[in-house]
Amino acid sequence: MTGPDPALKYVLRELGPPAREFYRRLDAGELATTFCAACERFSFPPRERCADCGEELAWRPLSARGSIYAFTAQERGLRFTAPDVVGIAELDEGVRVFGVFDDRLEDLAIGLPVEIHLRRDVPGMTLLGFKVIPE
Amino acid sequence: MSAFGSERTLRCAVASWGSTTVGRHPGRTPSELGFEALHKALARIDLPPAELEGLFIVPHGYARAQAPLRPSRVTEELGLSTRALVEVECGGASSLLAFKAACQEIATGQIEVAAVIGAQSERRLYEDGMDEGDLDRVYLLASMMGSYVAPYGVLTAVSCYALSAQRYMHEHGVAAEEIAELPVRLRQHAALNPIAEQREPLSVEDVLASRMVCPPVHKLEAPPWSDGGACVIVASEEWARRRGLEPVFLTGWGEAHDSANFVAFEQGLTSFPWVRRSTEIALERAGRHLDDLDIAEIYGAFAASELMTYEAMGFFADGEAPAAVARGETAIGGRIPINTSGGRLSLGHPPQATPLLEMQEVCQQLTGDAGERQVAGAAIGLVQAEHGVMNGSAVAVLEI
Repeated sequence: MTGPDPALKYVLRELGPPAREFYRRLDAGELATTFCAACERFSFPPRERCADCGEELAWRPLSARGSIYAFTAQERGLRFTAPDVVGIAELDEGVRVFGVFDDRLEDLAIGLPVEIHLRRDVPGMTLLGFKVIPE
Repeated sequence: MSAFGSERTLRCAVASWGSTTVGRHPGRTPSELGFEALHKALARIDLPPAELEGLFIVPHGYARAQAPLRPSRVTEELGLSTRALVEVECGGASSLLAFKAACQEIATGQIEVAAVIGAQSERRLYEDGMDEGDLDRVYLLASMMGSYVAPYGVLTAVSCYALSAQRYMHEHGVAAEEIAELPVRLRQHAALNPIAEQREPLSVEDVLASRMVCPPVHKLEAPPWSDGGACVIVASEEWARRRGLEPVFLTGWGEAHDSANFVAFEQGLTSFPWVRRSTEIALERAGRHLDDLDIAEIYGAFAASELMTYEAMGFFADGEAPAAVARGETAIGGRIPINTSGGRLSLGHPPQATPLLEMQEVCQQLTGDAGERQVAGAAIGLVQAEHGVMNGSAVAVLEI
């Protein structure tokens, strides 16, 4: 495909500064979000300032491991097909992120350990992929 | 107290209401449906359109593209001059927030009477396919899910509701059969409602045998994307009395909005304290308790989310709504009849009109005009609406 997926047109147009930085870091191979040193807390989505104390937030890398928090399969998604299994992983730091699963729906269960990798095969943006870690 | 928590405001009345049938209206524009509802509401109290001092509308749909400045186009079509004119947008809560905007104009004495209209008609776009322009609009629509969900091609909120439903079932040990009981109960209400889209009897087996749209959500646990329009006429108490009407009064308003957009990454997917907060604020201002309510219409766009809303509002303890529904506590004649209209799942769901359809149901119940669905002696009711995936909640307490 040449140029970004048309399904991404409005998504890309409206990315704010923290989102641009989040995806710039993913492009560079780093999964990270913002952390408030004063409140000692991660925020996801990443933000420029802490909503509680107003401090400017710093970026901090996240582990690439976690567990399945929730998952579903889209009957008709705009980007992924067969399978289009998407969901939320809870990382070891407690941060929850959205991603697309490599595994089939029937092989997933809440709580299973997953590793998080970068999906660079989708044009326009680097995204998060989840894969169940075998016992 | 007063509806908006200030003693320096006037009491607002819902003077009239009207709607189209809910379902399929192919070839009819959203404005056409909205105007049908408006003229029904006006005719009910014999009010000429020219007496309206304000007009409060909402966008005319989701997938259907809309040019700016629709309020002006609508007044031109109606031939209406007003002193208050605005379009209000906040997802599924839009028309309830438009109602609030109208009431605030009246409560502060700016105007005495206004119409609130919500309508949409875009089912055809989904059923007959879309042209290039429609598809572009769908890309725009899907981008509402923001920078961390939309890039994954999540097409509709159904996926987000499914994730929430899965967590609810997991955390509270709720079985699929228990979720499926709710659509069955709502269908029993809809069977008695002449404007409802889906009125044929339904069984738990039917629900579980319906297509798995987005696991664990079955097709019959999701609302139809209906066409329909609804309108309420709001006025000051004095205006209503002057015309000899027996209106329904707004006695309490509450709203609370969380910071999450669709997927509540930080808050989790099964806890909605802002839904409870909006309910508490509205009831406190009305000087009422949850137990005082005779009837409630709750947004509940999906079976599991509706059950979670019952719990979040405080009607039942966490995880206990399915059993209460199965015991008939929310049925007509039950402890607290909820969604006697048939709810979103069976009345049908045109989101831009839904909160006003809910309000119409409560007003009909409170004025003894609900026909076979009538809850005997209903005097105090509640309307609740949400936006996103229960990311925010608005509540109106209505009384005769």
